Amino acid sequence: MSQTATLIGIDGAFHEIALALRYDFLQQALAGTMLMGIACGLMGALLLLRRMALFGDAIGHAVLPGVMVGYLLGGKQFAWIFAGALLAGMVAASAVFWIPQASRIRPDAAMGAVFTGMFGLGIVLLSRYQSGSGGVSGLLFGHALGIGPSEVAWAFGNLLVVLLLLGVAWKPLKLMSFDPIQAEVTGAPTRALTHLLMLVLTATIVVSLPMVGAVLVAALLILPAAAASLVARHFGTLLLLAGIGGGVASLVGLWVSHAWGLASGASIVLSASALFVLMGCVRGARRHKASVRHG
Amino acid sequence: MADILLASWFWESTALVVITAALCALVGSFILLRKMSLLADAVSHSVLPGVVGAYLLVGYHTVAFLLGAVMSGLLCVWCVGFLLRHTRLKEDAATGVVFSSLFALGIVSVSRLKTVDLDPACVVFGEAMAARPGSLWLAIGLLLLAAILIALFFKPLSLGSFDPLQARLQGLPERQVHTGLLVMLALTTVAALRAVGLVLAIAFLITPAATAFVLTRRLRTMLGCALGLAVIESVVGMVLAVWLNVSPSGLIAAVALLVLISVLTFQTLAQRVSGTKLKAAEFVQ
Repeated sequence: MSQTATLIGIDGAFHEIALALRYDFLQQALAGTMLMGIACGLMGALLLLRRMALFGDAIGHAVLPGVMVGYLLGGKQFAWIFAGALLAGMVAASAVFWIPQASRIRPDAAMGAVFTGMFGLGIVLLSRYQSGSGGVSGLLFGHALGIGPSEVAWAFGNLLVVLLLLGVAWKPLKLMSFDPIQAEVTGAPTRALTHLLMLVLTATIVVSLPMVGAVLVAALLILPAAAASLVARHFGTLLLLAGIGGGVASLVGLWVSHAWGLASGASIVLSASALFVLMGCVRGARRHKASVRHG
Repeated sequence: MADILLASWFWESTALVVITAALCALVGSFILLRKMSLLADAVSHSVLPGVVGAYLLVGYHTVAFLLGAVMSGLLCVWCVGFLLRHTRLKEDAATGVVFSSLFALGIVSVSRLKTVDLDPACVVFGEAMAARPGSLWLAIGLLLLAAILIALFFKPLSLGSFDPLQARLQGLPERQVHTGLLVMLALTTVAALRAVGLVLAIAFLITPAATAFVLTRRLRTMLGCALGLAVIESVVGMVLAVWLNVSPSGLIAAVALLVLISVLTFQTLAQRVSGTKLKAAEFVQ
């Protein structure tokens, strides 16, 4: 009896999903956010291992003036926005590295000063050239249900770039994550690779902006990776779990946002938080089992 | 332009921004010296769900906002500590996990509420121009409170900033001072949230203090310098923002960063010209 009820329940849910999928915008949104989530999970895992988890937060805020300049110069063309954001991201990254070298200000304070200042500049441009708050909150908090085919294509291209980076530089990336000194000694191109990583990170953030927004994109970089790190024990497993986790959290979050009418970016982040808590429970249960077994 | 500069609403909002800036600079100086900048970023993001929760429970009420903010700010700190004790996550990752989750929770609730008092974009960059009269009194009260607390507890605050071990050896209440600073931080964020928004709050907590830290060698001069910088930057930013017709909070944050970068560039160039390293200069109490 109860089994039948469950079956009907699941069937009902599937029916609802199938109905919803007939809308083009939802298909696009689901495809785009999933591709974005996987890319963010993978990049986040690389950042986490190098103790740069909050770097995504700084870059995510700091690209805003670049996005706005690209938007104003190129008139809504994504390539221009992308170029502007890359430039701003690189400027911010250089400033964050330079300030602690030039003074006794610590890296965390340098990061805070740079991201707030550059984000402020972005807000200034936004407030000057864009009337009405719709566009503003779209760029700041994301509007995943509003994306079009071009955003999906960009997210797909970006994921390919991330996978390419991993495929080509798997070994040095792994070595750099666990033993930077050893990596340097063995002659891996660590500097070039760090720059490349920053470049791909900025690209991933820019592609994510229309879906989760500048304010929340950092969360999607940190949460799936941190959740995966609770259970994974190897480099490969960590990346795999973080990628899958990012994708799943994005899908679930988007679904929740669509079904309950919540803000899409924040819903995606909250499902990633739920994933983190879930992985924490898995880890706790595993530890409990181990301690019981060992008496 | 001239008629705006003469209008009373302009000076009221400028007064609010200046007082908030001074408050943030005072609290931020100790935050910077105690290497808590990251925690400041986290706590100021995390107060949002507390404020929204308070709004849901009792409506627009300042005391409730302050209580909610302190509770969720301390919850954030506790959660970060819990993760550090029980997982292998590093401090930055643990902090990121907690504050981004709490902040997203706040944003979801704010966007769900759809009220006129709270709005996601407003939370991020404030509405200095449309501030309520109560905001000014809240900021003034908190500034007085901060000044009194700093005067009363100057010794534990300063010694703990430079030499925590020595402070503990002398029997100074290090832990209580740390918690007190966190509570003050949460309260400051509430005042700043209403006046200038989250981004400028963090900018004011970090940037003037960091600039003053580079420019001075003693704590007292650093506090004075941070205060002065915050006040000048906010007045200049407000006037410029009105002149250019842009967001004041964003512009002031950008001005503060510009000042920091200019000071650092100037120092680096001066060192290169004179050929000496001034780095040996120690920062003392």
